[in-house]
Amino acid sequence: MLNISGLTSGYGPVEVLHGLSLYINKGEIVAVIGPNGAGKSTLLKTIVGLISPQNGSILFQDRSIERQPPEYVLDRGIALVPEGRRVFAGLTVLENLHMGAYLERDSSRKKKQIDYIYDLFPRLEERHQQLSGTLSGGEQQQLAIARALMSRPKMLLLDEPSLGLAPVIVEVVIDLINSLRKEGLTIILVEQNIHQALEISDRAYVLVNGSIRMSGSASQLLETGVDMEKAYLGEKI
Amino acid sequence: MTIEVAVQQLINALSLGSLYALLALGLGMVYSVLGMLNFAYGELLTVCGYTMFLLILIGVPFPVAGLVGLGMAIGVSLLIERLVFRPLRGASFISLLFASFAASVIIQNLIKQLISKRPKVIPVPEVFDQMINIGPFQINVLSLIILLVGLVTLAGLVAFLQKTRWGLAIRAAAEDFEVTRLMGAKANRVIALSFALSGFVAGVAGVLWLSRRGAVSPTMGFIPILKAFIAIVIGGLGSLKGAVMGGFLLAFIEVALMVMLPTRAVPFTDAFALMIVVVILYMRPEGLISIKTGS
Repeated sequence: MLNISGLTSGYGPVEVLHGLSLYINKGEIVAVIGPNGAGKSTLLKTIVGLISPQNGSILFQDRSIERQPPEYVLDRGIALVPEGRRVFAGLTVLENLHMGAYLERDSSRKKKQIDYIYDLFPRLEERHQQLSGTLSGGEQQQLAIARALMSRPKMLLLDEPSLGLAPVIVEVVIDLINSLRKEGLTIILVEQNIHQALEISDRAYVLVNGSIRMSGSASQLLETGVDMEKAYLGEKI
Repeated sequence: MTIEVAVQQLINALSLGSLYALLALGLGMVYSVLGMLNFAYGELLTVCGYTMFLLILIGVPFPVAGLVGLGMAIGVSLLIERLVFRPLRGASFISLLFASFAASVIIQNLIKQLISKRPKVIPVPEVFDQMINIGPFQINVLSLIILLVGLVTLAGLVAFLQKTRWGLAIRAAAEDFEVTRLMGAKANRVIALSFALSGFVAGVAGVLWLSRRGAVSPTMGFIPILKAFIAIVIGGLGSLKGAVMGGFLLAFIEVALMVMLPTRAVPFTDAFALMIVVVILYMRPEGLISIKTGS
């Protein structure tokens, strides 16, 4: 579904990703794990078009999407839930959802999508008139995911969805990711928390210093946990 | 102070406040979306003023000249976005700051060269200076016009920002520009829209400002941008609600000082007003409305 090859990307003259290649099949949950500063967020931002890559190609459903602006990539069906949730704090929950469906001009379809979201997140319906900044961290994370789902994406990119959340809430988010997969959504999950990520994903890539250090099925990688710690510490394997 | 005088001063304060609120909203609109002050903002009022001056000179009636002036302010605002800000997208704060200063200086000097360095009088309709009686109160017609036009424009803008898809995108962009792009809003379009709205507000404020002053000069944009800047700082940089509140608060402070200060101290009204602003900022460094908490 998504095919990245030889991707070089970064900020201005600074190169963060060095010729990275990976692929994701339809219906998979693929984890990208790695230490802080490995380039995980840069990878996601490059996929959605917030950053223009210096080199390499990104194919989504056989269409080239590298160097396309975010609105184009979103319209093709890739939505990103950014790191740190980043809900629009001064906007109400409902306004946040409306922003998520910014490209949808048909108001009846928008209404239907909001109903679907409220089924999935009853909490958000209860609080739809509330300013998002007043929600708890867990609720904000739900809103950030709900907002991304408003565009009816085919593929969802999640950047550290468990960051800063209490363990109980993390469970809720994991259940949610599982149920989204059952609905046929393809998911890239970026995490620092290795075990959580590997437990719910099919395959995983270990990203260190802007390059893929290891990859394989999630169960395989869970078994070689020791080697992964080495990878995190930056030792040559 | 009699109740009559108090009511008249209250109208004055509200009238000046709606003018300042407009000025602040126009400057704050671009700031909140772009994170950058447009220092050529004051020149939008100047452009509006000189357009009116030239049109009235050739016999165009005042209201028509005002509408064309308003259109020019929008046009020049969009032009500044296109020629100054868009080519420098992603450039550093300092580059943008100098570029918009440069735009301001260029416009001022164009007017000096093409028209005149000296102030020019604009004949405003005589009715502006008259007083009307509402019950026991004598109220200046112009104050009332400014108040009404100001409030209607503010209400229109608030409705636009609250009720339309584009307005929602502007408010979202004011909070987080990158995430707004992630939602599918085109960056250039949102920014251009904020400049168009900014120009519109500057145009309306320009017509009202001129009606008060009755004259144009190449540097006439300085005081309005200064007032707008003070208002958005009091209100909380980056908050549109704060900009409006800051505008009204600044006007109330100024009018109150003019009423209460002894005659000999009145020329120093601005100094006293700024001192009060410093005290407000000392107590609330983030301004009245903090964009971090949104309250």
